[in-house]
Amino acid sequence: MGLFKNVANFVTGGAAEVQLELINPVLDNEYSMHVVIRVKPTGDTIHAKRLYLEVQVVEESSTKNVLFRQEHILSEDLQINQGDEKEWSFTVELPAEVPPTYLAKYFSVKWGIKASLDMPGVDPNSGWQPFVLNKEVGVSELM
Amino acid sequence: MGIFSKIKNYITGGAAEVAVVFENDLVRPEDKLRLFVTASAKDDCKIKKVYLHIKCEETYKKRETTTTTDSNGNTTTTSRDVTKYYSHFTKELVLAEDILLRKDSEEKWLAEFEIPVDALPSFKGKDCHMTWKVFAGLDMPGNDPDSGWVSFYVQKKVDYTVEQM
Repeated sequence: MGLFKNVANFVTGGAAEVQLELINPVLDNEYSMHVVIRVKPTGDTIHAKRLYLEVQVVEESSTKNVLFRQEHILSEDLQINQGDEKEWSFTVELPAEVPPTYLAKYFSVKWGIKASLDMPGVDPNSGWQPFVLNKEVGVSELM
Repeated sequence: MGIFSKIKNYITGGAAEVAVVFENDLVRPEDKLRLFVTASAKDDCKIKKVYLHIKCEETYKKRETTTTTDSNGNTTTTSRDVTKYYSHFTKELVLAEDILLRKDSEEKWLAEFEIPVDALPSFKGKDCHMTWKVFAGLDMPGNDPDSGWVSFYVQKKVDYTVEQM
């Protein structure tokens, strides 16, 4: 791989393709979500410090507030050879007192999940994938 | 009670103390919200009506931009997030009409209200909220004695899909 390609990957995070598949993207009064992550180098063999998963729920109107956030490290010091693809299965466990998905007229509360490789420069990632948590808000969360 | 006290009550709404007592302040759609409005008279009260306002209100932030120009013609633009309110639902229930409540007496009225099937559930975030509340008042000459706004909670699971995100 040429120097310019390496610089481009450093800036864009394009050294690997990170795919995130949500097995059950609608959580209905449940707090476990199963995901599969697939990582494939776009060119040369890659070395990453870690593969990590971020889960968050964001309240958004003209302001954005992260109401809850989790990070999971799925693998550390990993190498994926050119042409190979690696796959990880993981179950995200959310606590019961997290807020549900909520769509009002002027604000929203949305959940998202993203898988990333910790590499020099911009981390290759799956982008934020939306999922839904449908549940009743607990009384203690309202007061 | 002297004339000054009557004038004060006329202005402040202090002729009676009004309160809201919930049987259950946590309801689901199609359930009935049941509460009592209580009034304790500090002076004779000639009441046209006893009313209860019910409201579902969304609180959110909106970015507002202001542009000012000084005497030298320099323009400055500033933005800030302002708290805004939007009413999704309002209703008035009249609980009683044409009542004379004597000084030092107490009265209570039952209010029942069915939460609409399509009601939005209560939500409490950081900047944004969905709040259900009631306000009881006595319609009298001058300022109405009232309970102020009192919150109750609507609990409901909404079934969203990923396509809506």
